[in-house]
Amino acid sequence: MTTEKSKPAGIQGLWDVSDLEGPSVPAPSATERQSLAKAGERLGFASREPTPPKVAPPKPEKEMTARITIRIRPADKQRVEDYAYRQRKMLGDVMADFLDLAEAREREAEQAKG
Amino acid sequence: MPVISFVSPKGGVGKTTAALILATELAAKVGQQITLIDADPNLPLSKWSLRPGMPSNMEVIADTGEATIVDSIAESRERSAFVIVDLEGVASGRVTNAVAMSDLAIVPIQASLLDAEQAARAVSLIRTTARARGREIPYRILFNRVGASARIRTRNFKSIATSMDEAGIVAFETQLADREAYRSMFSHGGTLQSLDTATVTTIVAARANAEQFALEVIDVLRAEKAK
Repeated sequence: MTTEKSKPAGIQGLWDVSDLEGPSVPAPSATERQSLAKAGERLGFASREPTPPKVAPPKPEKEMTARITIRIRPADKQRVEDYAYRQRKMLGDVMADFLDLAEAREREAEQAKG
Repeated sequence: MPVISFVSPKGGVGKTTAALILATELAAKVGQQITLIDADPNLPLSKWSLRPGMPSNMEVIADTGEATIVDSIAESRERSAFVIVDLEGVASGRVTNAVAMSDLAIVPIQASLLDAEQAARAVSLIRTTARARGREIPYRILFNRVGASARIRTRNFKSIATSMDEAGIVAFETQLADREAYRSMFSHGGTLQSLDTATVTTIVAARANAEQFALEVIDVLRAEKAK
C-alpha cells in the first residue's frame, strides 16, 4: 500500500495540499510597515485609521486689560512695530521690556550719583 | 498555510463572492481548517457565517483594523491550511498590510474600463509592496460575473483582456460566471455543496465553475512555490 492510498478519501491527488506547507511570509517589522505605508500612500492607498483630534494649546490668561493711547513719531512707531515683529511679541510686552530697560538705566544713574 | 488576499480599490467587483466561493470550495475539498478574514467594514462574510450551513472546518474572523490585520493573518495561518482575506473596496493602508502578508493576491474585475483602471492600481500596489519587501508577491486577475457561456464575451471583455495581456498582467484562465447560485449563498447561508439543487438553478454548473477556480488557485500556488 502506498502512502497516497493510505490518506483519507477526498484529499488525494489534486486536493492534497500538503506540498504547499512551508515557511510563512514573515510579518513586516515596524520600520518595514512605515516604509510600506509610505509606498502605499504614494499610490493613493493611504491610512484611513481615525487620528486622535488635535488638542489646541491652552490660551494664556488675559492679563493685558489696561489701555493706553499715545502719540509718537511715525519713525518710532515703525521701529516699535518692527521690533515687536522681530521678537514675536505683543506691543504690551514690548512696552514692558522698554520699561524694564528704562528703570534699569534709572537705577544705574542713581547709583552713579552715590 | 498560504495566505490569499482579494484586492481591489473599487467596490462591487465581486471580491466577497469570489472569496466565499474559494473558501467554501477549499473547505469542502481539502478537508482542512480554512480561515476567512472579513476585512470589509460592512462585514458581509461575518453576516454570512451567522446563517446556517457554514462548514465545521471553516471560521470567519472579522478584522477591520489597519495594524491588527497583520497579526490576524499571522495567527490564522498557524492553525489553517488556507487563510483567505476579503479586503474592503477602497484604497487604504489595511490593503497594503494585507498584501504584504500574502502568498497570492487575487484582483477581481468585471469587464468594464473603470474596473480595469482600478485593477491596474491594485497591481501597482502589489508590485510596489513586493519591491519594498524584497520578495515576489504573485498575483492574478480574476474576471468575475462574466456571461455563463464562454461563447458570449463582450467587446469590452475582449479589449480589456487583450490590454492586460499586453501589459504583462496575468489573469486566471478560469472566469467566475454570473450565477444565481453564488448570490443564494448570501441569501440562504451555506455553501454551493449544501444549496438545494431543486430550488437553485444551474447549481451543478456553479459547482463545476467553483471547483475549477479553486484548483487553478492551488496550481498557481504550486507553480510559485516551485520557482
